[in-house]
Amino acid sequence: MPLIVEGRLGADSWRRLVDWPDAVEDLGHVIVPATALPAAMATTAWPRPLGVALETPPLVDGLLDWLPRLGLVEVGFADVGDGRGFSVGHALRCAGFAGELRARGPLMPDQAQQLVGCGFDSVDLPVGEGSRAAAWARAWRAFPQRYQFAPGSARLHSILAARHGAARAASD
Amino acid sequence: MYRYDDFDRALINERVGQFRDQVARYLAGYLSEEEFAPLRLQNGLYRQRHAYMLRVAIPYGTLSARQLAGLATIAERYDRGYGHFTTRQNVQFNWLELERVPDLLADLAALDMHAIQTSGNCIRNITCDAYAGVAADEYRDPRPLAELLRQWSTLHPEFAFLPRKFKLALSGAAADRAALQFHDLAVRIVAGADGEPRYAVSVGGGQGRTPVIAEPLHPGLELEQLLPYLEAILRVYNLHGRRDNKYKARIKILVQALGLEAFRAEVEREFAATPRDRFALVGAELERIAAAFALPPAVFHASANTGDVGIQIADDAAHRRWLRRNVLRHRLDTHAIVVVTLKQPGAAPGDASADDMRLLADLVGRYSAGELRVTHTQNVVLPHVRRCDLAALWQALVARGLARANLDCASDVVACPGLDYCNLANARSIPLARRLAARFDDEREAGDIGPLAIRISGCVNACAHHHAANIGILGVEKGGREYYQLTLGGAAGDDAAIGERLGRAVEAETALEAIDELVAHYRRERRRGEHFLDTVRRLGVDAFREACRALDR
Repeated sequence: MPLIVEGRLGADSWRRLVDWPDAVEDLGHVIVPATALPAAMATTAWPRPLGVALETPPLVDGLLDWLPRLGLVEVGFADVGDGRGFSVGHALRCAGFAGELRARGPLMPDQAQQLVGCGFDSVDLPVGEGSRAAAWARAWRAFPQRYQFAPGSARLHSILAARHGAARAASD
Repeated sequence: MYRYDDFDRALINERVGQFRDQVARYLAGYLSEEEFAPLRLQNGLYRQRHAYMLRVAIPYGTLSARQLAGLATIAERYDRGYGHFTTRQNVQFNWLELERVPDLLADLAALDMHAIQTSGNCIRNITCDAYAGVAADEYRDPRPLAELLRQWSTLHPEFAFLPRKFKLALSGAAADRAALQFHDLAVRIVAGADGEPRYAVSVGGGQGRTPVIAEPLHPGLELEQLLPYLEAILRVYNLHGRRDNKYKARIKILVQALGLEAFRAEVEREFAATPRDRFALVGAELERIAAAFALPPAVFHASANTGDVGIQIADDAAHRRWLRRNVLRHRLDTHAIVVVTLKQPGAAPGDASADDMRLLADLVGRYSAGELRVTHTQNVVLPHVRRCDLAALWQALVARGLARANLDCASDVVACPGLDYCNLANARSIPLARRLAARFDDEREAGDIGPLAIRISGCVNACAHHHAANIGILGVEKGGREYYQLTLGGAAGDDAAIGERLGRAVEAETALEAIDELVAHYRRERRRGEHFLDTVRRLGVDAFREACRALDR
């Protein structure tokens, strides 16, 4: 319910559908369950990018082929200790997905650094979790410099690039 | 040795600040117990029987004299004046108050040290051959790679919530002194056909309640391939490892379930899908790090000034035993590697008081170019001792009771903290280790028995690596009482083997009798030059089982 976008409480411009309707009219930005994705993708007249909700990782077969037509991928996290979604997010970014990458589940603010590092933009949290928005905002900005390169994220600076970039600049 | 630059320092300090905030939020009720547990564990903090315990990383086992002296100060300031060196090249402080842990971490950061990922379901502290960089049989010093991997794994966003812990070990020598085959993942640096280094990877080794010897996964990757390949392995594990049963969640179970070939195919698929441009700087970074691991200039300086190998007390039998047993060949003929076993009679294996640490720091400064190592057998190594200083060093160690000549002997017992400290333990380890150290206290007898690895774990988690011991001892609980299950024939090196059970679990007294019988049988049956393990292998475990009457009574 409460949605954290780029570290702040935000409004959701996407609607959630439980299934793909037979009579298609323009419903705006919608997120469909993974099971409904083949039907949705078959509706070639659909005017805008679609969102898809992956209940639990790993990836759905064929998803990578549909990425160019998706505007949002939501990755489910079953509980605080289930880190599969981080690998799913990372894999989607590596595959070139450029839309909104959203996490959904009972995550805590202290996992923001993992989300950001794996290319996530937003988190859909359980009801009541909006009270920790300040902690989310702080955590989202933490560790701007890291040893790893983040796929699909310009926000993070790699320490390796900074080290060797500086060395190269000095030698030029 | 590697020294932090401003980037390393900034990251470690930010991590200290983050943990300070997490502790404050937990104490104020903003983080639940369930949420705080993985966060404190990712920073090495356990709740033990009596107090909080912090496990501090000693990456690849290398420490400076300044860091060791700093650990002594921390032991006095936050603990009860001692620390405990573990079987994974970490040091633990056992008596901490949660509120003061952030300050302790800040003190550690000032020493270029941390407790990041020494616990939790993430990539743990990376261990190495303790004689890395000085061993005579070494092809390449594995520590530059270990430091590279330390950085790569530190706060790796994808792998902080794995199904279970993930342990990595490295070696670049001919002999395996890092128990490579008992790790989730091991990398061995080997020479390629073109003379360039290649990285051989094995996977799925481990101990715990299901001991497994690792399987070879790749015979020799090139450097540019190594990190993306490791990420592919971790990704396959993260996505497919079991999360429904923590006893079946390690990567060894996944490798067994899929079969090695299918597991390899999954890894190759992920490897192919991993963009390589992100790893373009790895070669330059490894070079930068490697420069820090050259032999310290003080070593060359010192060797230039000495031509003599002057041992002033060569007639002293105890000194000669120590030279034979605890002094090893250095890659330079002018120098030696000295091992100080933290197994003095009456001490808990691996324990070092603040005074011991300070004395060792002082000796390391004077005699070992300011550098020391900790081993996975809970000992301390002075890697750069001039041969002409051996006598003076020995005398200084004798004065402090640290000159036991028992490296790899029956009294060089490895033990976990056991029920005296640990929440998980079924039985105490330390009292039994003390009794074994006392039983084999006679250096002449221990020397005659020769290499004999005895290891005691207080529960099936096998922290003391008892499966890999020649004689393993596992603490079990029956009806509220402590019992010990013996195993025979395990080994940790290139000849890695898992010990076989001997009879039923027995009380401590009976276990000690049984060990005496095993040793006596070996001494009766051994052939010339045969070590304990050789004789066990030649005669078979059954022959020893029969000789061991104590277990039948």
